Amino acid sequence: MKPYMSFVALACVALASPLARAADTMTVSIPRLPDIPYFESGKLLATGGVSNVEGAGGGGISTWAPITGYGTKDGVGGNAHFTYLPLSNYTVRSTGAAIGFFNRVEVSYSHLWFDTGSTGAKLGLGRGFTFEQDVVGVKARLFGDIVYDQDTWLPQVSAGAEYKTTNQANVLRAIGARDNQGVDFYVAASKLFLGQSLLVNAAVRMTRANQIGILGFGGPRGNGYEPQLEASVAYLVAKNVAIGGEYRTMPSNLGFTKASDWKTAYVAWFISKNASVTVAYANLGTIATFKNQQGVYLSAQIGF
Amino acid sequence: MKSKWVHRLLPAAAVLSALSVYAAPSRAAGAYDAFGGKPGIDRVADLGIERVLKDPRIKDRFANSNIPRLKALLSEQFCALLEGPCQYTGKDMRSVHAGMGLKDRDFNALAEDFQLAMDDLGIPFRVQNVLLAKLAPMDRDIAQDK
Repeated sequence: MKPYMSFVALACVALASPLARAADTMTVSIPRLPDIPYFESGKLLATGGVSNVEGAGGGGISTWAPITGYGTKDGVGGNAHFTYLPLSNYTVRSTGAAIGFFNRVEVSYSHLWFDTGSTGAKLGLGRGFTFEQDVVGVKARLFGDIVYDQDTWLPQVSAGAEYKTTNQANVLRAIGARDNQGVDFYVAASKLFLGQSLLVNAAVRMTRANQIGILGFGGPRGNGYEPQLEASVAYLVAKNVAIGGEYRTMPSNLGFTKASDWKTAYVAWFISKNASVTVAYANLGTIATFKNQQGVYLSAQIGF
Repeated sequence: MKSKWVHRLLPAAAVLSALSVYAAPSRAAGAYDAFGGKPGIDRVADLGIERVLKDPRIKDRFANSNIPRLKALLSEQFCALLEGPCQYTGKDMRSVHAGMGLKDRDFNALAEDFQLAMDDLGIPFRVQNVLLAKLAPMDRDIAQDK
């Protein structure tokens, strides 16, 4: 898998979609097939969210209920992301793409690199040792709408599953992980309090993943599914700027190291419906015995 | 093992419920004045509709509309939604838009035009959102699925 392939593919679609719309307004006298502009980008700015580290629509490290992209229930939307997070002792990169169909179903793919850099030598893995993870995700909106349901307390609720597989299976077994692949299941609720410019998200994830799966699945201190919480808030400062924070709990299944809860504080800038940038301070705590893993999270996204 | 995650979920749940209390259902109180009263709302309706009439996405939808009357009714409606001293005298949203085949994207396009109009008039974003929050549920009656 070439790292930037999915990013480039979605870039093409993202750039083509405004052209398709422009063409749409010009074809006044040309007969054509049913007038259904799927690449409508019909949702309001920022309401498609961004892509999280696992490739699903959400924040940076948390999963949200909205279906990715700017397609309404009559359209198709999509996003590609590239995320870079240099931590104190490791470097995380993630790239991927997600498509949202009719504001109902989201399908996502993400590839993540966890580069141990010089820390790899200290862990006995070798300098530059890198875990790579593929995540294939699917999310379905069950009920509710974050924008329109302003007259009820009902949130938008979605459910999803993520199949994750991590390379370096032998190393993962050596550090105590039971598997190098697993499936996470989650339910996510998002409520936009538009009158207060505030978005609140909560997700419960059933998982066996150690550090979202980078360090495998299960271990000597726990091998079954455990519920973990992802909570986040976003305050809309302007039509195109959101600030907020996220909190995500992690199971501690491995014997040789503890895992900490992940936290971020972020600013997301929605340049247009075709591009956004997220900058965050991220603190992922202890990862593979190295404490206080923090850094500046940068994520660029293009879509429609 | 169980208590490990329970004691971490509880504080997070507490924070969320505290936020929910803060984010009580939107109150229009004060927003009417922030819009500049009825004259300010008149300008929003006027500039918003002027933008809509230039928007290639939706302008054709208004080809047969009585524009001055539309502006007046919108202003009345916004004023009433913002708890100003007005009464909306037009027809209900569902029957007005029946059979037009409008979609969410049309509703959102109009919302975007009005956001830009309110930007032009210097109405703060958070005040704009008080009005948008009142309008948002109307999507169900305007972009009718059937």
